[in-house]
Amino acid sequence: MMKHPLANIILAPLIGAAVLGLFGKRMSERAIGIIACSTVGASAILSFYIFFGHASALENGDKIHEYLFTWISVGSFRADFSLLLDSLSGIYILFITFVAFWIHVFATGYMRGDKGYWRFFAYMNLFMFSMLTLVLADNFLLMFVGWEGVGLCSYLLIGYYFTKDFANDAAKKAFVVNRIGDFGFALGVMLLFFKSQTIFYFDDPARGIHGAFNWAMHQSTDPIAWSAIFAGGMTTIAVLLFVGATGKSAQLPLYVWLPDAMAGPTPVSALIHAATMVTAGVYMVARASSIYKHAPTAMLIVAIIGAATALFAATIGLAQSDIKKVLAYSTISQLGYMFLACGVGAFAAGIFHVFTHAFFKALLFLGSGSVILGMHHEQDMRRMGGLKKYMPATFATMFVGWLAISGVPLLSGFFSKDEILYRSFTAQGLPDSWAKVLWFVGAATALLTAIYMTRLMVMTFWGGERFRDSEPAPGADSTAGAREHHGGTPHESPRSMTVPLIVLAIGAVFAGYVGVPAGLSGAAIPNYFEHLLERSFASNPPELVSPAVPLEVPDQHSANPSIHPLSDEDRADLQADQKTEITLTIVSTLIALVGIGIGWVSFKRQPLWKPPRLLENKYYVDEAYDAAVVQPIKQASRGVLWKFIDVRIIDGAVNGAGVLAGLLGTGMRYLQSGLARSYVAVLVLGALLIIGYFVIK
Amino acid sequence: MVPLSWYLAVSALLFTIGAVGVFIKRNAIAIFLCIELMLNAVNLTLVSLSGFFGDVGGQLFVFIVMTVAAAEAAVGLAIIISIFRNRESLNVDEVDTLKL
Repeated sequence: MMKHPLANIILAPLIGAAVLGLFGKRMSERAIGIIACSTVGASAILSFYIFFGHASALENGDKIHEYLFTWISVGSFRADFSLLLDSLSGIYILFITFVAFWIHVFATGYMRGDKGYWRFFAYMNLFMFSMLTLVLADNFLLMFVGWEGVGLCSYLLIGYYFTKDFANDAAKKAFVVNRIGDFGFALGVMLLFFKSQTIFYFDDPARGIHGAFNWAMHQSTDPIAWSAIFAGGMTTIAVLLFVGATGKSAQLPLYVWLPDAMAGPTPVSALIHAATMVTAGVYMVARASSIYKHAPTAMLIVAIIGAATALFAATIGLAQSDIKKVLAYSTISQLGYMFLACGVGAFAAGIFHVFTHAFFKALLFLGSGSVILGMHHEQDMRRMGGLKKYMPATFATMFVGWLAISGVPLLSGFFSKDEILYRSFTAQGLPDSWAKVLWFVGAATALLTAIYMTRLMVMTFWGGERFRDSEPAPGADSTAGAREHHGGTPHESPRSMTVPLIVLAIGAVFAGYVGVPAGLSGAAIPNYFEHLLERSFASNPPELVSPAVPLEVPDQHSANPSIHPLSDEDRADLQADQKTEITLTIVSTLIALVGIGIGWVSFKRQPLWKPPRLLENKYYVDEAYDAAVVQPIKQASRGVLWKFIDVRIIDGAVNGAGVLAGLLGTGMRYLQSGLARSYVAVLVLGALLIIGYFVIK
Repeated sequence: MVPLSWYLAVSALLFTIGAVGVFIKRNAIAIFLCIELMLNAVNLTLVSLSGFFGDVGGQLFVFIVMTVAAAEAAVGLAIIISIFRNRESLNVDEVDTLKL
């Protein structure tokens, strides 16, 4: 049908961005909205068409390469502009384009009347282009192009309200912090190229390309030891790549930019800082699974960082009073879950959580956007309360999102979170008792998640109507956002905003059913999601991989795509696992319900609960970074680079050259007699001497 | 046919007139004319020697000298005009601000 179907997916939003960026200023809001939504919609339709057109091939682990042109070719280094569709990138393009389409629709309502309407949608479309490039790239360099592209769009959209200082500061912070991570990523790719002589993911015989992951499968597994990190092998590559992931996906210690990124418009927070861009780090770790499988130390680091971030961010989320900040910390926490899953080797579970999280977190963010708009740009939950009467559609959809993220059974978040907790409890290949510790941290986070989300809902939708109070809430955060329209009764948002909420709410309920864990259903419902993904990841746990086994040997699981054929051995394993899994499921269900109960009882009674100062001030991490990093750099720049190197050395050299020339000139002036004919006399005399010398000689 | 020595004698004469002129004149334009005279004396030498040795190199060099002389005349006259505008005088001995 089309010559380059995958290229069209990424080009549609690029065309939208170009048209809007060049001509959008003269267009009506309606025309801008139609162009922005239709280009992303076209991408979405094309993604669905291609994915389901090749569904069975993707289940078999086929990789569809689409070569466009050779970008760089120097010596043995080669990078193509070429795209790759396999089940992992396929799932990503499906939920990215789907969620993004509905967020674009929501934004046409949310941004109405804004002066930069065209600019906003041009950036949003450009973001879609970058994100799809990141996901569909078939080599690390092209992925890096998308990686930097989403970073740029994130910067532009966080700083969208560029007349406000806090937005500019937040944008710069996001960019600089991400740059630290990107440095690690770039080093990781360089080291990978140094070791494997290729930056492509997989072999493509049609172009005569060798893939780094095919190379990685033939390497031996690094030992579990901290020294392996610095040995320059697989573990080093994996750790460096993970540094990039901590930047982009806001993990400890580089998470600080994400809460500040809420300075951007709310649809941006939903699309970029919750549903898509921040999951790029998880995508990259999952994509490089064959490298991580050979670097158990790096896996352990990923799991520890993920679990620590999940718990850490959840405790901060408990104490924030800005509705978007709560969701921002919740996002960081959920991203921690995804890395926890990757770290314990359950890449499919991690991606599954990315998938379900995209629905319910986009829903929650858009719901908060609807609340903020309905409250006339009020973001402080201490001034809300009792909104369910005024905003029934927003309330109903956010209610679904709340239950989904809290892990209430039979909603999407339940399945994915449960899968992650189960996988970390039963993780293989970790040092003793690590698995239980990781599980415990994950479970504690789940409890906190339920509590802080209940707090958010109770403070916003139930209780007294605090927005009627005229005096500001105690200790109100004055930097939180624009307050110019304060006052008036809250109102429900227009249809263009409630419809996306309803669609995403449906997604938040049902997205989990594509990946019901096998243990829960007794394999009666096939775990389609995991089955689809298993061929995209390195298939064996590290201790089972012998260096000689090639990747492409088909295992029995993929022979029949429709049902899971189980050998007797598998069946026995499954029954043993099933017991553990059901027990853990009951535990996590209880955790969710207890969390909601605690939140309900305590915050219904005391919605203006004063949180501990340590939590309210986010553990003073920003202050610590400021003291440890920002201030020393500022002082060094001022004291050494400016006052000494620039003023003394550079300016001194320039001024010194001028002074020297002046002095020299003053000295030379003594030679001048001012009599022109005497100069001629000297000239002639000199000429005669020279000629005379040659004549006499 | 005129022998080579006559050409050389004429050119030596011209050169001497030019050199002496540069020495004794105070008017900037007169000095300038004398410099041109010296240049052309050299040109004459080059052309006659070129004919004598049958080598066109000398004649080619004359063209270069003429080009340079034209450029030098343009720049020199511009400077002279500028000096006259500032000082109402063409006496080179009065243009001595560089002297301490």
